[in-house]
Amino acid sequence: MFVSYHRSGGPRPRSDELVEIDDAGAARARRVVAIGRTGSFAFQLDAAALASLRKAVSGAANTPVELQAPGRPPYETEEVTAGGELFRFHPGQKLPRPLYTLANRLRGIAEEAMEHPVSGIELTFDQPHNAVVLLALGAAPVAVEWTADHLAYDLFGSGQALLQSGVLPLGLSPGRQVLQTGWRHAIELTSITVAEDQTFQAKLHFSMTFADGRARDCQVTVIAGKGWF
Amino acid sequence: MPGEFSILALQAQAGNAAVQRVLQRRNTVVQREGDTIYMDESGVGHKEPSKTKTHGVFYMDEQGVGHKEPSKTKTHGVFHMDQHGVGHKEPDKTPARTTPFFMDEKGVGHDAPDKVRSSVKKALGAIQQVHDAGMAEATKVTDGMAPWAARLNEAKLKSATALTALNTGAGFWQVEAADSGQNAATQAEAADTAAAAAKKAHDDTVAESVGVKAAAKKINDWAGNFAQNRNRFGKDKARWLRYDSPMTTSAVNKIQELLDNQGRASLDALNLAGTVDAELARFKKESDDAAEAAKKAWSPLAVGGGTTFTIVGILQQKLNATRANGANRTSISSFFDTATENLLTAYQAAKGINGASKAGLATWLALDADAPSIVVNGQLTVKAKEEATGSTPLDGNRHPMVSFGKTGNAVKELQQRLNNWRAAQPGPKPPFKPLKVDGIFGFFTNSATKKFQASVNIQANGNVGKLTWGELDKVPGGITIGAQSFYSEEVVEGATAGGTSAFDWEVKNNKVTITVRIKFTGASSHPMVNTWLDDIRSVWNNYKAVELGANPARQYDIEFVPKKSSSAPHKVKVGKPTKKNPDPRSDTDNWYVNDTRRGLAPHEFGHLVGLDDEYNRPEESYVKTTGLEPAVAQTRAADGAGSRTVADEINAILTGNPTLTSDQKLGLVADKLDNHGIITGAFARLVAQRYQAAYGFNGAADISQFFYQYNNNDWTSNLTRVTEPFTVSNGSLMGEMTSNLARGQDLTTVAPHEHPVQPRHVQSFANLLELVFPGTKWKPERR
Repeated sequence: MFVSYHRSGGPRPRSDELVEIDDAGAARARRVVAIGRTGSFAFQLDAAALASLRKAVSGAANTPVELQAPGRPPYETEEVTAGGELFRFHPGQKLPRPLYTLANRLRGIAEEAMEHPVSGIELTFDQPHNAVVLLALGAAPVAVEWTADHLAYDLFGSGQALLQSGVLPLGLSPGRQVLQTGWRHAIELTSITVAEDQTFQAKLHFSMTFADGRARDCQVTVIAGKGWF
Repeated sequence: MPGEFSILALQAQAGNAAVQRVLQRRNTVVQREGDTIYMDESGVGHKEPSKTKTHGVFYMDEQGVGHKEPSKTKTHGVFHMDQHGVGHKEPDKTPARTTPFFMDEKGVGHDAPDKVRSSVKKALGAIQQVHDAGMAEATKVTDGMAPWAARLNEAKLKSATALTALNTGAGFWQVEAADSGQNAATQAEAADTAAAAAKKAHDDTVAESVGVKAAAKKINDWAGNFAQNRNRFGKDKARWLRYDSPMTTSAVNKIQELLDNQGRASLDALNLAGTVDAELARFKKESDDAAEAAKKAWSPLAVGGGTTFTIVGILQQKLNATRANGANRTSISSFFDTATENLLTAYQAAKGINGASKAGLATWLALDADAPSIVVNGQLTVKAKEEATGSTPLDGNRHPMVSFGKTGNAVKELQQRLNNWRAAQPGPKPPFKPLKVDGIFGFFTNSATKKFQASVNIQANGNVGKLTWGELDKVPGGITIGAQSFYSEEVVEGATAGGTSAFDWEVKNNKVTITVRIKFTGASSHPMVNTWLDDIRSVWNNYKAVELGANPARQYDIEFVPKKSSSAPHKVKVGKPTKKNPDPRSDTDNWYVNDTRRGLAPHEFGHLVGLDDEYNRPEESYVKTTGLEPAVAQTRAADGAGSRTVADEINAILTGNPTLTSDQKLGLVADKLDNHGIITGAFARLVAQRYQAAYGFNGAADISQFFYQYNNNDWTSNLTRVTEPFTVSNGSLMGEMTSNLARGQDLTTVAPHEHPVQPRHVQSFANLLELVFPGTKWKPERR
């Protein structure tokens, strides 16, 4: 492995996002807490991206950094392993420029990985039907366990003030289920209308079993309407 | 009776010499030995009266034979009957008998009465004796074993009862419920009672079998003699029968009967006795089965159960809560070890329960009364012996440092305490004029402070720190206002975390008001900030302080007031999602506006008012923080792995894998625990015990701190993962925040035991009223 990025910790469900890139630029990733998609991902960095990454790794070498953690756990940490060195820091921590560059590059690759699902779950918003939709992604079946019978949602006003919170029935039987690629489940937003200047956020907690055989608590979030930015 | 009747008929023909002879013969017959014999109309004697119908008058011929009609033959003259009853024309020439003769039952006369031959009589006596003895022994066998069948059925019933009790009791062993212990103990005692009955049945039978076997042995021992008797009798019988003595014949027959009877009875007895061991084995099986069931029924209630049971965890909770002062807690491991036994024995001794170190019904009843199981935030627990402490100032001082020029509630408290001291000084001239309680540390306050310091031998410099506050706290008199500010630490996930608590307080208008100032930075004007402040108020402001032991009891609302402030000891950075970080995760210092968890701000607020976390805490510190015993939770690994096996696996990972970092090894340990399906609970605590016993914690207080030290005192997410199963959490606001913290949940309607804020969380604020009204006691209650 050439370089890896691991973001973990935080409140439940805890983050466990890992990106590993080998010398040839083959990237494998997983994400358990995410906007949109969770699951396993894989793709190939193109030559330019790989070269850029090599340069960032080279630049970050021997950059001392000390974790500046909040007073009490739980909190997220990010770890970058490159060139035999381990850099660990808090996501909100101000980093030395070379390490900041590398970290940002890896964060970007983690986002890019989301475009290449191997096996995963996506939560999207179907505006015409005013519904949130669960989809099974990738080429391989995904093993999930529905641990909650509902999605929690929040509706924020034009100034992002919290207007309303509640839950939506998931409409799926609790327990383990293996979903084939293309599986789809829509949950209609009854009595909820998301105006253009409002922000709608729905979160679903569940458990997903990854290729390493370990089940992890997951949270997938969909944002609709104006959004945060 | 024909015989009798015929005699009477003959008597009707009085004067007939033949009749007289017959009468004489009849009378003679009566004289024979043995039973009365009955003569028929033919003059033949019988043992029984004739069963034929009674004849009318009959006529006896000269030969003494009766006929229905008189003889048609010519009439004889006087005829003379000889001793055989045969008539003759002439009298018998033989001399008349001078002695009576004795007629046997065949009507044959004899010179002497019939009698049993002496050899036969002797044999009969001997055989009778042997017979009686043999029959007595045979009776011992048959009578001795007669009740066994019914008793065995009863033993089977008891064995089945014990098994049923075991199975019923086992249904409670792993149930985390308040009455599980009592139910299990009740069934165990029922199994004991049934097993004792089955054992008694077995023991009684064993005891009786001794006599049965002895009788059988005698019968067997006598078999040789019996056979000899039989053989001899077989040889003698024919000879004896030739004696032509009915009585002898009768005796011979009697001997035969006795021998047959004894032989049959002996064989029956020996056959029956041959089943004794099999019967005993049946009794033993029932007794053993019942005993085994009873033993198993007690397995979670005494040392030696060999495995983990939820009710043992519940027992440990109660024993910890009721333990004597100075006694150590035992870990809620759900394993009945010697430490648990020691606590149980001590408790039973203190309560006068003769429990034989078993948690029987009497013990559970007493424990349930002394330390009842309660449900708090969804967990079954027991109020610990320890009182909930909240955060403990690292230096033991809760007061902020104040000095000349400072302002605020702490100065007001100082001024009130100095005025109390002034009022308590003897003599006509107070040391200073009463201070105005304005919260301004000016010249008068400075001067008064120095006088106070001088009086208690503290350097009179006007700086009010730990020493001066310590002396001021001793000054009698009430105060109504104050401030607290202190740094405290706690151990979470094995790592030491710390923070400052700081708030103002005032008792006024029937309220205890706690004001906390928070400085929001970053997106501090975001509307979510006001939502968070609303969350704090709605979650926290549900309690009042009620005076104890007073009638009427005074009541004060406990009101928490979070205030935005530009200069506060508490800083929170308000963040928004960005394109580079679209889904940020909040922590204690960074609150993100997309994080709508209702408990986020109230939880952190709890720290600001002096409360510790109640999640992922080592067992001992959890108990001290919450005043609750840990919930039992998981008692066995999901895959059934043994506790020692898991401990060994942990050690193998930590001591092997030389190319991995400590954190990576902790990750492997966490993976291993995941693979075994081990989550927070008693089983993990048992694994920790096993690990400590086998490998030690290298000086650490518990396994979570051992992992932390192993990880070079570094908090990592793998540390969280690996310590989580071994630590203790609850669902309260300061714990995992799983209890009724959904948005829209009206907390005023939530049941007290399920409220995210528990009385322990606000007890210290009720206690502030003790400063206002010295000598009183207060407790928090839901408004």
